[in-house]
Amino acid sequence: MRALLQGSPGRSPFAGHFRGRVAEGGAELAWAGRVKGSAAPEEAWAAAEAAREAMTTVRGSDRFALIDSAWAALRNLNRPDISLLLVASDAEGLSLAASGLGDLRLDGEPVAEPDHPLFDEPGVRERPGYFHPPRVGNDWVGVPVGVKFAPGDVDLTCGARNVP
Amino acid sequence: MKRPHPPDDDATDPLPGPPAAPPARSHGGREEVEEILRAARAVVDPVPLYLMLAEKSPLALAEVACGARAPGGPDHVRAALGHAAALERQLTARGVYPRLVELAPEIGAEVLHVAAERHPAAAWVVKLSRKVEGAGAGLIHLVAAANHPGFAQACVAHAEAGHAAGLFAAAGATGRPEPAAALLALDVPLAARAAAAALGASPASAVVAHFSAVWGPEPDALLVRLVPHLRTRAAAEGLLSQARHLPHTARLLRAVIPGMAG
Repeated sequence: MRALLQGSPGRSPFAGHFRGRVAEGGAELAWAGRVKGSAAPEEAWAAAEAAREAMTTVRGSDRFALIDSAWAALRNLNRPDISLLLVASDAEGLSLAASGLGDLRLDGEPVAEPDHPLFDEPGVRERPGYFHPPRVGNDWVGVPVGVKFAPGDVDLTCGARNVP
Repeated sequence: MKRPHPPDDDATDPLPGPPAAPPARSHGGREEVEEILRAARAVVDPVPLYLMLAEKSPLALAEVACGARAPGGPDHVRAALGHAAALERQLTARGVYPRLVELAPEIGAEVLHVAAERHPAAAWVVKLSRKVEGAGAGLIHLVAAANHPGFAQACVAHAEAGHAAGLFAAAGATGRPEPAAALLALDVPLAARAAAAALGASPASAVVAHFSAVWGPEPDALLVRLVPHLRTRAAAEGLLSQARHLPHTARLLRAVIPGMAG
């Protein structure tokens, strides 16, 4: 499974993006986020580096513990502009948490109605809301608030290309 | 770049000199312009004439410098470049510089340099670059625009025009990361080499931030490709300082840096 965040239109579509994963025991967490997305690349990169550093502390033996740990790590950054998608799985199932998203797609298809509480303003609230999706798949694509979903190759739209 | 003679250069003309100065701020009547054009074709050193016209008759200056019957040639165009601001008050900039290149293609680079310095963010400079620099288009413009806020956009415009060689040269000439980042849309291996060239010129060049912003948040496999093109230890250390969360790039750099010349 992959957690991906769609880029924004413009010259620097992935400014401030960060992405990663961690596995512990039988549980796994994948994340994709964006901070300072409208800043200059240098400034956005520095903010993303701080987010990456924060995520090195994430630990958890099940999917909820992993989500809680990641949420706490990013909340400490105190970034009101963060957009975030967390996708966690364990032997019992799969759960998501998100912030600052306007749309969420699974393998290209919408996962929830636009008025679903999963979709919220940017920033990390005190506690995450867990979303238990009705179906499973591989590519979870978050679309930041204010960005229109772009159909097409997710490796291109989400900055996950392989080097030719 | 060779500049027009300074205004106080008192070179003597063996042929009939410029016409007597018209009244202050002449608007250049047709007969007067005809007379000035005849004189302009005859002068050896056009600099005093252009200076006088810039002060007294800007419309006639535009006619002599860029008009349909302008004498042209390197001396006249260099003299005209010395009054670029005055010309731009009479004609649009996007009209002036392409016309000057037409009138003296052998000094097109000088014209382009002035155009790029005065209009670093103008889209028409990209087209003019192609006309003047051919396959190497972009270098003169981007070097002139390197400290302008529109530099990144100018790099993208040259990438959209397919000016890969000019972008590559500009990366090394400016030490800025934007040309290499713009090249990612055209030629990924060349972009990696351009980033190495930028680091060679300026080891603090923020190539990782710019590549990530354009390519995506995991540029490790891409940046590994530029390591073999690094030529100095300072460039390699500059990249390493940006590669904290790029394990493959950092590992490779730590392996090669000890063997690199200081």
